[in-house]
Amino acid sequence: MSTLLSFSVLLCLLPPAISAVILGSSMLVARPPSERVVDRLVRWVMVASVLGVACTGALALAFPGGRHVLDYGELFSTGHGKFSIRLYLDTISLIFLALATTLCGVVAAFSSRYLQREPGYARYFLLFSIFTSGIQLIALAGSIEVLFAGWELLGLSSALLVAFFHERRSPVANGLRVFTVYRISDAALLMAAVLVHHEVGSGDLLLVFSSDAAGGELSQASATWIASLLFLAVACKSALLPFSGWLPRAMEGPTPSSAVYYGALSVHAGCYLLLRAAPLLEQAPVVRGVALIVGLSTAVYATFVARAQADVKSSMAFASLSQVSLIVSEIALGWYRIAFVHLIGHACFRLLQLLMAPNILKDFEQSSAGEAAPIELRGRQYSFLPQRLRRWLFVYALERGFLDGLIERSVVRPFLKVVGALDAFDRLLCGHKKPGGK
Amino acid sequence: MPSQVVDRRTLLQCIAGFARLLPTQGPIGVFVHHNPLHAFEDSPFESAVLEAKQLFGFEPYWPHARYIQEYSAGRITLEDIREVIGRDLGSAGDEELLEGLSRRVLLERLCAHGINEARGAELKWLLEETDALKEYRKDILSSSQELKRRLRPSEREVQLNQLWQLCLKHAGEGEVAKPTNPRPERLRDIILERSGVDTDEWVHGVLIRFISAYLDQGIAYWPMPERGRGIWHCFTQLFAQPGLPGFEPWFVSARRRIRQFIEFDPADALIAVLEELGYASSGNFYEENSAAPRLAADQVEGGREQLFGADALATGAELSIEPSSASHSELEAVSVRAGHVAFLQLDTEPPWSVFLRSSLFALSGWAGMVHQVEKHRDCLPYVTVQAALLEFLAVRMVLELGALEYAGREILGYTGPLAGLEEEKRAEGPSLLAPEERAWLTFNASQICGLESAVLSTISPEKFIEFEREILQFTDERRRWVMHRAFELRFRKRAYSALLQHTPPESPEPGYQLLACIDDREESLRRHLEEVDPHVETYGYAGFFGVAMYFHEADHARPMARCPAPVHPEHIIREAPEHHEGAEEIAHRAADLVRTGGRWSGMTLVRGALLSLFGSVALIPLIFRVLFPGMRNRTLHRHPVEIAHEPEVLLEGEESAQAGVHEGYSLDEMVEVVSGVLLGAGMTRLSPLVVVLGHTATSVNNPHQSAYACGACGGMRGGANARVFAAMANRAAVRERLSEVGINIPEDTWFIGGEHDTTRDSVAFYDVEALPAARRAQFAEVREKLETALERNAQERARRFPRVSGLSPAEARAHVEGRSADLAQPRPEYNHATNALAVIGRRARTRGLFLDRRAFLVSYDPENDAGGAILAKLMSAAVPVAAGINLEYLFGTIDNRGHGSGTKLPHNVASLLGVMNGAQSDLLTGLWAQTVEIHEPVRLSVVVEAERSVVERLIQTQPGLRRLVVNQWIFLAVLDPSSSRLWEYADGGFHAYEAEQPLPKVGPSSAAWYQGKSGYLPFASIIRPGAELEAQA
Repeated sequence: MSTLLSFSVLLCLLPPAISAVILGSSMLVARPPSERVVDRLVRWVMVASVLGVACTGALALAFPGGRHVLDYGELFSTGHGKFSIRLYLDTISLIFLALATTLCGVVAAFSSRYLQREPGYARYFLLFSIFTSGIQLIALAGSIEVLFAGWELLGLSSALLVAFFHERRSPVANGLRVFTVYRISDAALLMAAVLVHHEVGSGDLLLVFSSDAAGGELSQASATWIASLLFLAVACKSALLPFSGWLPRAMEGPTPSSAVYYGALSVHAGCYLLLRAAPLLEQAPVVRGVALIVGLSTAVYATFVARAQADVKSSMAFASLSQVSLIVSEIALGWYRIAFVHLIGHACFRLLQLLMAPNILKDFEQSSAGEAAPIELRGRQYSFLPQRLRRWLFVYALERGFLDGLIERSVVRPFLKVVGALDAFDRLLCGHKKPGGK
Repeated sequence: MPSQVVDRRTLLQCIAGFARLLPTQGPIGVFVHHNPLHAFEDSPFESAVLEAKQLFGFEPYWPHARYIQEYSAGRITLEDIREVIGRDLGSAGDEELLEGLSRRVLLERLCAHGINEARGAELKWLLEETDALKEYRKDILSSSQELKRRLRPSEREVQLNQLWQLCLKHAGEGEVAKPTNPRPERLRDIILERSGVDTDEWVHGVLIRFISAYLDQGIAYWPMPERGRGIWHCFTQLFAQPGLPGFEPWFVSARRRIRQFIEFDPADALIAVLEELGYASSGNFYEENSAAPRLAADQVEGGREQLFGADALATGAELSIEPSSASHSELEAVSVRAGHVAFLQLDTEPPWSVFLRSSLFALSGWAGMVHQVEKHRDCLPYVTVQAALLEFLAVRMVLELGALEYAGREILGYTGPLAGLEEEKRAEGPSLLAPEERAWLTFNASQICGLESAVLSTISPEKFIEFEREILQFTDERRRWVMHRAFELRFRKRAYSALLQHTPPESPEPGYQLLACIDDREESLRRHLEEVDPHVETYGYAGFFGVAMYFHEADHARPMARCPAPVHPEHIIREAPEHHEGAEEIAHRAADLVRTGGRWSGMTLVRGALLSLFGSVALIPLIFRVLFPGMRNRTLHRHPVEIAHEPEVLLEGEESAQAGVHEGYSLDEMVEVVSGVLLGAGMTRLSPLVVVLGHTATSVNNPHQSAYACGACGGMRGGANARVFAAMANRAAVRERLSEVGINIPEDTWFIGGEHDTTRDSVAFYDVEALPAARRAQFAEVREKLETALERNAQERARRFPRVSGLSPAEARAHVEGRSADLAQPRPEYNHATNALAVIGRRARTRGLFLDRRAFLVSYDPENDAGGAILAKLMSAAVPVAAGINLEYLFGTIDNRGHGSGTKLPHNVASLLGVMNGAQSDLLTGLWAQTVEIHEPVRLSVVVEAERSVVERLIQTQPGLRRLVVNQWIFLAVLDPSSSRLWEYADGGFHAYEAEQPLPKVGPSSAAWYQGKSGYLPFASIIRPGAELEAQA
């Protein structure tokens, strides 16, 4: 039975991976396939993957046993440490996998028409296949290596899709910014992985994330360390405070990719990880507290900011963030079921909303009938505030809490100064001149 | 106030001049096609596009390589190039430059083959890393190609190297300036070049967020505070307030300036900014630089007319500055002084004005929107705010001052007035073409012309220099201009030739008539209907059918103008609002609440959370709408659509007290409208049934939807106009009065109004229940025929879409209906993408001619219009509209970045007024890449069936037409009403055209010609089998 299950999981994981390899290698030899070929390939890949999920679901239902650990061998092992390819299947991961694969399938169908005759057609679907693989790996990750791989694929494809229109300057600049924040996230996750290996002896998430096993294995201190690193990784990926500045900037790619990443799946990947790591979080009350505070304050921040944004995509990005951070708070409070339902509902609903974002003019035309234009129905509480506060709040929200400026001042400049000083010192030692100086 | 070197009045005049150059696209809900270079229409086309390049960097033509592509595809032929060059050169063309090579042949070859004008690093790469010096170009003459092939590779290399050395040897002599980027350098550009820091990124971030929230029509949940008192007041109040944390470092510098200028009025603030930057502080600087020659000035040849003429200031006077910023008397003074701004000629524009202008145009889309709101405050759809370009510019410049100061001081370490940077830059002088760069041109030209090094080495250096000069003078731009005209010439020849040779089929006595819009998209529908049913007679009239009105739809918030954009309607027609009672009323209100409430709940925190808990339900519409877009369609709409219980249109109204706009039409006015249309279209013998078709377009997820609707109805649905027109023509009182003036509408004739949806290819009819019993059977029959024609029309359209082929008519219609409801469809239809031609004349001349949806068809009967009065009216209405559409497509295709809005995929609706690219950008105006991708940028050819003398007189007497024709924004040709002769207007006279190759004849229907083909098709005569038999008999 386990073999059958392993096989059906492979049926859902392999197609996107294969499609990424085919598209990637054909572009590597400068022979990008035609639109028709890409379209057909992606269609079959998505159908196969959804079928794989359906099979897996049916099998999991047919053989109830709660959890299934699926081993696909080891990458390598040294002494007592080993890097294993292990997947972990339970109700939560199965549901998230099904959600992710379905939404990816829908968005792929959307994109295949939306991107017609776009020069980067094949490139888009390469990145989209990578994304699908990444999110599926995150859903099923049973070892921290697999999780890390999925996390990286997700981050890479995300940054490259933000910079999809690379003939213009701002998508590339914003893609780079997203990439930078994601690197912090990746670094945190990598450190967490090292710590897990150090403490547990393997990267098995089951040992870390399950309440029965972990108690004996992890000390309070190491649990706190690992949990806080994981939370840092999540905070970057889900754009929690103080990292929220990249989220509106990520709205540079084609609408469907923005929708599936920042409305539906990528922003929720962090929430999902926290949900999986709940047992660990329970052992680290400090981190839970921090998560609650960060979650709630991000929620308040994001909902205020969303209220002043005058373009559809920014306002939806922050509206989405307010729900994501609410989900994080729910997890911190231990309301796992609500959080999971909230996560899935929000992903579906926000995806639809973002895909229909360009329709907003028509929505307005059709609903503005009659006496009251919608703008007068909104923000009533706001109009009761004293004028000075209202002014302050509006500019604060319009400028997105001045986060970019704050980070520029408190992180980027000091960092550049330190690096600059080190560089100068280095040159002093080696006697090199600054490159490019005239 | 310190002593002002830039005086206030001059400043305001300048801004009025800038305003005229801004894009005129207002809120996107009403998309009006127009010439993006409207401000340049007083100059000839050629100098206008070059001037626009100099001012804004817009590309004047396609890249040369793109024309060569068309050349290889046969859309341009060598004869066309030859003809254009022959006309340009005259007798100078025959002069022999080298032995066996005349000037004409050299230029022809350069045009047809092109040279990649590589410079600097690119050239180095070409020379070192490619086979440029080892292999001959692939496109050299085929005869010499044979010759070359017989050489061994090493020999070829030796030959080519000799040639290269020879070119290089002669290249050193004589200095030629490198063509520079003609746009004015801004301080920001200089700082960017020196330090890599882009101050615009800083400024635009704040400015775009601010102005989009200021103008916002309802996307933001909170309304912006302080916006009642103008842009400047709002901005200074909001951004100077204390207690805002963590501004980016540059903004700290800008905020100090905002606080400093908070008490100033915007004009004074602008002057202060200029002084701070050093533009106005010393008289010397000003004097010196205003006389300095501009580097790129010699790029524009001739026609460098005064840019801001007297009528520019007439427009400028509309630039009403808010009372808060300038007194009205001051503004009046400005308009009185109109015409005294000679210094605003390009050469002598002072540096501060160049600086202001180029800074303003860095965000031309937003600036244009501000100006539109200023000019027509009622153009804002939901929330009225006041805006003034002057204030927007002041905000921008204060921010820019802060950014430039910070960047100059902190990053560049530059002390002293920043305007000095510009002076330094100018002092560097123009850079010259390097010898290699010049040799590369002659090297390529020699290959193209088949000149061997052996030949070249024998000629004298003087000859060689002359040869080189000839090539250098024939710049890339000139080559493209030749190719562009050759491209247009090919199209015109094809079109004229088709019109000359086409013999329309004998048509039977018409059983009914169809009056449609002149729109190019109706050409195919009319043709198909005539093919389906020869008993129809079709007419084309501008789609508002003379009914220039405001129309208030029952379920819309406010009335909208339904007439061509420049017309201001004087009538308002309302649909009677539907009355809901009891439970129905409650249900109606609830539905409204759900619609508005549902959307906002998604955006807020608590309501959003509650909604999200049940959000999984969204999966159902998500899957169905994306995977099966056609399905929703089929269940919701079934055609033909019946608008059975349309609320009654209130037609007859009393004179309203409201100035300018009256409720309804009086009897006299109705008679005028109906007679105008019937006489104009030449509908003198009316059939028992007359179908009047307006048109509209349906799509989803498409912010540009309005661009697809009827241009003659101001970008709105055209059905209402058809409906109102039919209702007028059906009135007994109107008919009675018409018969008095000699227009007889038979008693049993009935007009019925309808609306053609050009995306879905469906037709809906209005007021069907009012149809007299006697006409019902015929109407049912007509409707059936029309459905068949619509299906065929859908099939003809579908062949152009990507990845669509081999559909039957019925399948094609299902397909286009699916497109109209598909969330993922960026091309619901191709709109006017195929327009290129306008024919004003009797349908009898074009009936049965396959015009490939390329022609606006205006019905006109020259036999009823001896004096040309009707023609004058028709042309003054139709030609500017068609030319506007055509030129918008032309420039949107040639330079989609400059004049268009790029690909639709990352578009982001801002303020409900327009779209931005991705997260944040300038407001994009113009056409998007998906709608111009199949467009061929050729200027409109207008063919008028009339006497030459009549048209000649019209050109003389109508300034609007004259401007377009004489300045060559359109081509005008005359088709003789009584014979097969055609003359084209050029250089002040008419020149006869002869038919070229014979016109293809195919049958039995258009499908035989287009089936299985996806590109543009040659024009052809469609011969019905019946007609052929008759001809044989």
